Amino acid sequence: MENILEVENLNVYYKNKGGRNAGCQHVLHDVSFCMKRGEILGLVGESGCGKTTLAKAILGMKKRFDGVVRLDCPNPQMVFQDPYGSLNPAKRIGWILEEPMRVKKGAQGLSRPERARRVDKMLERVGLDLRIKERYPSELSGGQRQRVAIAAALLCDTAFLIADEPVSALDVTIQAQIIQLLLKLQRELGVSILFISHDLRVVYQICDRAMIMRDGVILEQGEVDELYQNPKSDYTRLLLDAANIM
Amino acid sequence: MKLLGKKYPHNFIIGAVITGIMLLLIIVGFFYTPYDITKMDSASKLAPPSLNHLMGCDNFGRDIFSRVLKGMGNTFVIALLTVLIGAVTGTVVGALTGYFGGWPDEILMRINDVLFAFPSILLALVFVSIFGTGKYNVVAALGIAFIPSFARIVRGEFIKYREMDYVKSARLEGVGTLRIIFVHILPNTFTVLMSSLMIGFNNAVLAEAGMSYLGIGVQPPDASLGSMLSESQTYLLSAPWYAIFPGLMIILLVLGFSLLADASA
Repeated sequence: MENILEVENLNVYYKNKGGRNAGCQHVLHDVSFCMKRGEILGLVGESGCGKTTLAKAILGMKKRFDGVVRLDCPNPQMVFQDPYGSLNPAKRIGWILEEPMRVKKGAQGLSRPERARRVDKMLERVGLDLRIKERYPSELSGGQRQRVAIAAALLCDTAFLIADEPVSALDVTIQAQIIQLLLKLQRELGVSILFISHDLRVVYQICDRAMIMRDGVILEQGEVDELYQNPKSDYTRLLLDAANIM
Repeated sequence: MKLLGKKYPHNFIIGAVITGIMLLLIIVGFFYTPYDITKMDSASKLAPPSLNHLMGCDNFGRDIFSRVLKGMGNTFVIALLTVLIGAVTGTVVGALTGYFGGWPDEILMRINDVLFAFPSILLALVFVSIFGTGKYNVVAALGIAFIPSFARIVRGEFIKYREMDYVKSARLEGVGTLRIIFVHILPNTFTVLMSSLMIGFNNAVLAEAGMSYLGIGVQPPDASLGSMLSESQTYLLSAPWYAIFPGLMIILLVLGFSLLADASA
């Protein structure tokens, strides 16, 4: 199929605390969109609007949902917002990067030298020194950690990546480097990226298309230029004014 | 304090020296004692410390130093096995309940609460009263009594780590659940677990000494620091060395590990 991801009428619920009879909270309301293979799709919205919930539902991390999620990628990956929590603090970087290949079974399994070769190649690709393999996550900067997290996700040979606010915890210069890196990887590997952010400027730089979300509803979606120049909803206009982009 | 180019806290150095000497004595005691620990000598009854008998003799004329060496070995082995049973079982229970949560967690933790409500020595006494006295029953009794504390510590750590992004990443990478539990999360609990192990070891030494003191641990003529203390109390004024040396060894054994635990925390 040409689309790597199709979501139709997705509704997600959270169980309220307080026992069996406490009921559920309706978090995502009839979310529908599709994503082409190889594109970078932006998902913009304020904190708590349901962006991460949507990402988790796509990845199958949410149990209470109805609707259809068709993902044409067997091993989707995610890059998380907090670079300090996304790498195992007890393991060296080399070990962390080899792990996805180590757990593959049977014919897919790789020998140790082959794993090391792939890790070296990926480290070069994400712009990290090979000596970083011997270091622990606590010895790295936020930007380096995020590069390692991206490398780990791509070492799973994935064609679909969810980047959940991957630059919001980083300072501006490092943000620009990570964005450039994602663009480069998308060009070189053709990976499709669902880029979640609350920063309209970042989305404008990196995405082909974007969706605006509020209170669990997709208000509008379209090509970034079109969306930013002719916003249909008041909320999008408000966001654009606040970000002072157009 | 600097040692071999690395800086160590003072309590680590002192703890390591004391524990090192204690371990050396225990190892020596396994292979060699100056006298047979059961050999009685009526001429040396309650003899004071001398060059022939470094720590004096007991009421049967047995060499206290030899019995202390053997007794330390017995106490050490019992404490070690106790902590191993408690730590390994407690870690597995805590890891599984902490990771999976839900009703198995609720049930196991409520059983844990019940076990926790009783002092470990009391639980061990109940166990021994059912299954009988002896070295291995004491190990089993204390081991079971020690499970709840380890389970609780490990469970708390697992609850903290299971929601971390690196665990979610591992799941997405296709890492299996057991591998996530034992390879990805467990090593992160080792710092907390190491301190608990040392504190647990100390408690086990004291619990074993206490049970042997009550006469339900190591049985005569075998030696244990607790049983020696128990036998010595009749002669506290006439032969104080009989109580002092076993007591001193218990203190040093516990102090050494306490300082190490303190330094590693």
